Amino acid sequence: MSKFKERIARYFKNNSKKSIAITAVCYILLFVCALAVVIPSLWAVATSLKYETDVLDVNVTLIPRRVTLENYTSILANRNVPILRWFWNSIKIAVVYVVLYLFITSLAAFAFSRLRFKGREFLFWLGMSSMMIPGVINMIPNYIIIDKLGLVDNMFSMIFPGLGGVFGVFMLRQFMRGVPLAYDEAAKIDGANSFQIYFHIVLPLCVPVLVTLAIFSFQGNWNDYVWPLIVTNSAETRTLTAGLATFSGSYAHQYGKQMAGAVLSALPILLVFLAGQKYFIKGISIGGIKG
Amino acid sequence: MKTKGKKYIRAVQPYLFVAPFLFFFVLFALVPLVMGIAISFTKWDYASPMEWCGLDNYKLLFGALGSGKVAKDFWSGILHTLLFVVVETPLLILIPLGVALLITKCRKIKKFSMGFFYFPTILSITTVCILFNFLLDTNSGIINHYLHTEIPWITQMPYAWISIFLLSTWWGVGGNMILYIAGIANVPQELLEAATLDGANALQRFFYITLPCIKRTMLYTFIMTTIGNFNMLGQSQVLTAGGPDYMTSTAMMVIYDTAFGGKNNFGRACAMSIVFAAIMFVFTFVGYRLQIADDKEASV
Repeated sequence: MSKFKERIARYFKNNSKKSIAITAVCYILLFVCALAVVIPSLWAVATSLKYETDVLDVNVTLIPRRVTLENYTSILANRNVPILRWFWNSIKIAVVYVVLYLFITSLAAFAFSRLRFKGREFLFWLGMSSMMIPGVINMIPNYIIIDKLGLVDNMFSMIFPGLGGVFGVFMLRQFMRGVPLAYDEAAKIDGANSFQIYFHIVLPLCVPVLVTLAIFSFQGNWNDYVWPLIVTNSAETRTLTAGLATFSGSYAHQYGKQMAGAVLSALPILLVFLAGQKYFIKGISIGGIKG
Repeated sequence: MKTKGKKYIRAVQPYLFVAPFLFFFVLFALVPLVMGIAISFTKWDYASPMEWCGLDNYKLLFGALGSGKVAKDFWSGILHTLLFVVVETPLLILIPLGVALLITKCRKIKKFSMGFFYFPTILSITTVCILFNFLLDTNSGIINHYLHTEIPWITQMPYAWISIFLLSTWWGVGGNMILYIAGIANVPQELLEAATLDGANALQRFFYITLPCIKRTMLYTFIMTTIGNFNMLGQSQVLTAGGPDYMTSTAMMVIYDTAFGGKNNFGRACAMSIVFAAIMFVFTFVGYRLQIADDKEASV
C-alpha cells in the first residue's frame, strides 16, 4: 500500500499541475464514452433475465426484481427461430470461406508478385479496376448464377461469390513484393519448385498480413446481411445475421425474449473475440496501415 | 524431350497459380457485371421468358415516365441514402478520431479500452437493431425512461432518422477507432518532442504533425466508410422497416424490394442498380483519386 502511495506522490511531483489536469479530464471523458457502450449492454442482459410483466412496468429498474431464465428456454425451444443452428451455420460458412479465400488469394498474389507470365499486368489491372465498380450491380446476376448452379439454400451459395474478391489479392501482393526475391533464388538452387517456394518460404513470411485478411474477410462474411437473405429460402439454412432479421417481428413487444435473443446471438462471437483479441486488434491495425 | 516438358511446365505454372482465383473472379464478378448491364435492357420476372425492352427501364427512372411511382420511390431511396452518407460518414470519421485520441492519452488503460470500444462492432447489424428496437421503444424503452419523454423514436420523423444515426454510430465507431489508434502510434515521437521544444501547444501539434501523419489512414477510412454507408440496408429494414411512410427507405432497399420483394422485377432492379452504382462511383472515385495521388507521392 505504501508503495502505491509513493508512486502517486512521485507522479504528482514529476508532472505539472496542468498536465495532470489534462490527463484527468481525458480519463473522465473516456469514462463517459464507455458508459454509452456499457449502459445499453447492461440493460439488454438485465432485461433478458426479467419476466415480461416486469419489463413493461412503469417503474422499471435496471436490476431485475425477480430473475428468470424463462426467456432463454422459450427461445431455445422455438423451432421457428433456431438461433443455435444459425450460429453454427454462420461459423461454418465464415470459417470455410476464410480458409478458401486465404488459399486462393495468396496463390494468385504469389503469381502476381513473383512469377512472370503473359497477361500478368492486364489481369492485375482488370482486377484493380473492378474493385472500383460498386458490387450492387452483381447482386441480381449472382443470384441467377447461384440458382442456375442449384446452390440456393446451400451453404456454398454464401461462400463462392466472395471468393472472387480482389481486395485480398491486392493486399497480399503488396506484402509479398516486400519479401526479397533472393530467398526464391536460393530455394530454386536447392531444387524447390514454385509451389514449394510459395508454401514453405513466402507464405510463412506473410502470416501477419494473412491474419489481418482473415479477420477482415471473417467479419465481412459474418456480417453479410442481404446476400444470405437472397440465397436462402428456409430458416434452417440461414446465417445468424440474416436469420435474426425477422426476430423482433416474431416477438413483438416481448422485450425480455428479444433481449435474450440479442444476448444469445452476441455471446458466442464475444467469446471468440475475447479469446483472440490480441491478434484481432493487431491484425486490424496492420490492415489500416498497409491497406 | 525432358527439357521441353520442363519448359512447358514453367510456362503454364503461373496460370495454375492464378486459375482458382480467376475462376471465381470471372464467374462472380465479371460475368455478373455483363449480365447486369444486359438484363437492365429487358423486362423479366425470372419465371417467364426474357423480353427485350430497350431503354424502357431507364426511361421509367429518368424520361417522360420518370414521374411515376417507381421513379418516385427510387429517387427518394437515393436521396435518403445520400442523406445517410452525408451525415453518417463525418460522424464515423470524427467521433472515432476523438475516441482514439482520448485512448492514446489514457496510456494506462489503452489495451483494455481498445478491446472495450471495439465490442459493438463485432455484433451483427441485426443484433444491434434488436437491441435498439428495445432501447428506443416509446413506452418501455430506456432512452425515454432516462429522458422522461415519450418520443416515438422509431415511428415518427425526424426521430426515425435520428435513431438510425444513433444506432449506426454506436455500432460503427470501434472499427475506425482501432485504425486511428494504429495510425497515431506510428507518428514519429521525435517530431512531437521537437515541436514541443519549439513551443507548439497540443492543438498545434495535432493539426501540424499528427493530422498530416495519419492522412493516409483517414483517406482509407473515408473510402471504406463511404462505401459501407452507401450500402446501408439492415438498419432501414430491421429497425424502421423503411417507415414511417417510406421516409427511411434506402436505395439498396428499393432495389432489393423490386427484385426479391415478391415483384420479381429483375430488369427494372438491374437498371436501378446501374444508376445507383454510377452515383456511388462518382463519390468514391474522388476518394480513390486522392489515394492514388497519395501513393505516388509516397513512392517518390
